[in-house]
Amino acid sequence: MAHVETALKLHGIIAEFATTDEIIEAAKRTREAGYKKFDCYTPFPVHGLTDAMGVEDYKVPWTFFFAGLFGAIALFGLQVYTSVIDYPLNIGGRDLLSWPYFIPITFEGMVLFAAFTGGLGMLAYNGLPRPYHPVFNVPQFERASTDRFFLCIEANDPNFEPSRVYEFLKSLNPISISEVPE
Amino acid sequence: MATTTAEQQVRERIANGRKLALGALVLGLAGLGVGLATDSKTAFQAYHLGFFYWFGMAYGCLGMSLLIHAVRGKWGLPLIRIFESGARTIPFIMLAYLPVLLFGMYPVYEWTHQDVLQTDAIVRAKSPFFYAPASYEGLPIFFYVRYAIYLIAFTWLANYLWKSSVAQDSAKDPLEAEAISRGRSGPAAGGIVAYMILLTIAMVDYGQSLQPHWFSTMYAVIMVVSFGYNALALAVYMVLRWRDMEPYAGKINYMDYRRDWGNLLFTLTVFWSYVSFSQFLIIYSGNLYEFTQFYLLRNDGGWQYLAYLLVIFQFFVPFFLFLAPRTKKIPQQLLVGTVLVMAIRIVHIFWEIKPMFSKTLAISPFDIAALVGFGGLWFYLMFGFLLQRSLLPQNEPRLAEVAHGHS
Amino acid sequence: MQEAIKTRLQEPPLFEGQQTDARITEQIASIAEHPHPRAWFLWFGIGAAGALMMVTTIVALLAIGIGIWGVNQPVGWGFDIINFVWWIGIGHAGTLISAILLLLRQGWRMSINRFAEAMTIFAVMCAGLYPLLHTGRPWVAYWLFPIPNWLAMWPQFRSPLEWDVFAVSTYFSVSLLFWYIGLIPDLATMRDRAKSKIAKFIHGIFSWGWRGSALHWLRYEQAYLLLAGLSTPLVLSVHSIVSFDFAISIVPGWHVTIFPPYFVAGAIFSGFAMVLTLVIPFRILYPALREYITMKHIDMMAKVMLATGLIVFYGYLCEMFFGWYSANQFEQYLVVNRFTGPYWMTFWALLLCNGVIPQILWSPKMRQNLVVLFILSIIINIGMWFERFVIIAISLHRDFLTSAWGQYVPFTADWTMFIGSIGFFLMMMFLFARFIPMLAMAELKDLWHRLYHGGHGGNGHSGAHTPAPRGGGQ
Repeated sequence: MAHVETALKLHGIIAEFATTDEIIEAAKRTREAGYKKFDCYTPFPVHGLTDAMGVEDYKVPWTFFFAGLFGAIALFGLQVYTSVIDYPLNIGGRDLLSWPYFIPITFEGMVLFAAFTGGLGMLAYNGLPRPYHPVFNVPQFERASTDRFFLCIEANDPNFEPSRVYEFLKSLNPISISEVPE
Repeated sequence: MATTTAEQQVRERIANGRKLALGALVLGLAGLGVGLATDSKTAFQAYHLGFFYWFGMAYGCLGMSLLIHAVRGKWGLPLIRIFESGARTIPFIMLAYLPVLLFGMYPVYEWTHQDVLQTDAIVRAKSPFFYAPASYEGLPIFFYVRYAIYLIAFTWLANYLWKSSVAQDSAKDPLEAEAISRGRSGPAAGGIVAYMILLTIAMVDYGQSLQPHWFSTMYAVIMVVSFGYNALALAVYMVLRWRDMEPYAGKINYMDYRRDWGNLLFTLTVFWSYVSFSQFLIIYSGNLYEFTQFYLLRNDGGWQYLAYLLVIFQFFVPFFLFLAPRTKKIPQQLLVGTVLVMAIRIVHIFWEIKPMFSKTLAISPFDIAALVGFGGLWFYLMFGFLLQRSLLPQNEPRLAEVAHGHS
Repeated sequence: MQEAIKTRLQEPPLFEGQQTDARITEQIASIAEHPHPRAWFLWFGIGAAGALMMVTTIVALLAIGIGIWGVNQPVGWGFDIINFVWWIGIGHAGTLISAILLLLRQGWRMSINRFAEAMTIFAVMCAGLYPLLHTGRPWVAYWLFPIPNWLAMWPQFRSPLEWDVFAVSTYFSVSLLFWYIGLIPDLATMRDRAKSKIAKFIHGIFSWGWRGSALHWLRYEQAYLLLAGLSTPLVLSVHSIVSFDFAISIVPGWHVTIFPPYFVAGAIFSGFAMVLTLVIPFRILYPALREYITMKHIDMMAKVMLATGLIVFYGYLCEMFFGWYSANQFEQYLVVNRFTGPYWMTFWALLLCNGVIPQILWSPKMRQNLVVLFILSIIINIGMWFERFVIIAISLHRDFLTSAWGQYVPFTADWTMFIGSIGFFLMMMFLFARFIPMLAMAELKDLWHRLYHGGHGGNGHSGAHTPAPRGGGQ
């Protein structure tokens, strides 16, 4: 790679499509053509797109699950520690370990931990916040959040060879094809 | 009736089930007969238990059909026939309770004991609810009148839904069918209102009044949820068992249905736990004997083990089971869940009713006879109604919509 | 005849007119980008004046003490707790719309969820103020949290008031998170549309550099659905815990086991009423909204109001019946006292506003009449406020011993605080309308494609789709 370094270092080559069906078809064909490092950008979640790309990910649900479990145990433990061990108080003759009283806060702890860990974790898995990204350099990309669908084959793909990628993308009949500078 | 030969296999199963149910009915009757002859007190109490459980199943079916019609839920379409048939058993189950009303009031209802009424001011203060307009020394007229009201009102409701769906099945053109199906939604919503109010009172009559000092406004809600939960589990179980046969094959094997049913079962698991725990927490913290006697009775003498079973198998296990996406993907696993729900429901009803008759954990053979006998009666009738009609609603475009939709 | 039935059976659509992705963005985003109608300044001004009144009251309260409120012995909970419960109930509709309806895959949530969630957040802000100020010394409110401190004491975890602290703060922060995560893709749209450098920069920061990658969307949807799954029981738990504030004690009329679900239903009831109170005028103020918040939405909200109103009414009937059935003289007296005691007007008003008048919603014609619905929604808001008054003031002013009976009369400061908080709420809603896309654009596009595009894998036409004559999403 170092030998063919051009003046402009490429992030990849991006193609623009007008409809959801086209982007799904394009993703399918890109995958079939053997490209591994490519990404699609859409203004809203297009159903079936990740299947077409062959992408699967279950990190988020598991994060929610374990964070919730942790939150519930942590808050229950906190209540037991403070009310039974650290500062035992007789309240209305109940047992010190009056577990029914501890359930509401245990539940809230579950929700709080799961929601924040999972919600912010989702952004973290996505590598956000990242205000700058090479694809923003493409002028047409402004419409990626409105009504256009993009597919970008990235330069770090082992099969990446600019002219062949260009030809391949052209065969998908996009509205436009642009180089994405790094 | 649109009985196609394709449905034959399932119909044979139902017919066989019907024979089995008849056997159970005879067996149960024999057992109860022995009980009534030897130990009528325990036998009548067992009779009440059997009635209560299957009464719940029938009312759960009615409640689910009302709900499905009122909100026009697509998820209920493959199950609706089972619910409609189950709801039509109501008059028979109610009539089967007559022996208790005629001969078994004393062993079942403490508020019929004259010595209690004479000495206990609280029970006496409540007595107009059972005896009005007569005095508490006479017949419980109001109690009987309410029995008649439930019988007539719920039978009418069940028949109304049945007739309306027959009309939809035999409608000549799809628009007419659609108009019938939509027109049912308003009356069904009104039916839910009547259902809730009547069932609340019925739950005082057949549930709370067994322990006449005690009352809880949440009781009826817990019971309504339990009944619906049970009926749903049964219907899902039946349909899943027949999933590879016509008319279900190719129609219900869609992820959409199983996801909806699994989620609904999950929701009901959580809701049941929520209302049950709320009632417990409020009574626990108030700590007034008036209310706590309910739990004091059920948390002692061996009954507490049933309570632990409920916490584990009515909350923790189904919670994680129905939460898992896997359960909704694999029919076998969902099937296990529904069986669990139905099995634990017996424990739940037993735990609610039986401690009022026995301070220590005791299962009499008559309890089993009553549950089996009433169950036999219920299934015999329900399967009979089920065989009268096509197993899936006819003229129902929304059934196909789910099968082909992507939603 | 056939045609007549056909038109009668047509369900109103979830979108008015033909939409494209570009049109949805343009219609909604431009509201926040362009100068506002004059009426905006009027309503914002009224709201701001109210907020000022509230701030003034708070300053007086901090300087003098809660003696400037009408609370006394035995009625230690007055307007402050009534308003707390009222506001938090209003907030619940927002979470309900966005969370439960998402789980139920109800398409009609898409166009009102952002709006309703904003309402939740502002309502919970108003709600939170009351108990905080009610503590009397809000500057030591941190004692309520389990922070190890020089007192060597922990909060009282066996008290429902402490549960409230956790419930309300969790509810507020999770609602905010849910709302914000829903906003991120739309803020990215605003960033890409922004003309000025500053607007681009600000939107760029707040959208976290969202670029709509397919994998990001996948994770985003998973997280969003799970947040909805968490928010649903959260709403239930919050208002149940609010109901425990009462039910845990043994005051007549409070120690009622049905309180948790009954409070939750009441909260949803009043919340939907408030959504309608706001949505109907907003549709007039911003005509573009009418394409997305259609009569179908209004109809569905009216139906939810009817259903929850019936549950609330069921709760009243239960309280009356079991009050008698309890054979407990205090409970029985409470029922009589509600009908004929010094506050009889509030109780009759509550029955009328929440029980009787909403029954007009059974009529489909009434559910389509915006004027009727608007007036009804205000009546319900008032009725639900009375409900809290009945529960709190009537139970407290006559408890067990006649020697401890009293009366409760709100003072001026109670009214200025209450009306002021409504002003604050209005002000925040109008600020929200000014700066943030009021409807969830990405979700609306998603919905549009699912309803009228026949899912994916079609024959690839885009642009204008003809709406099919069905509501979908049921």
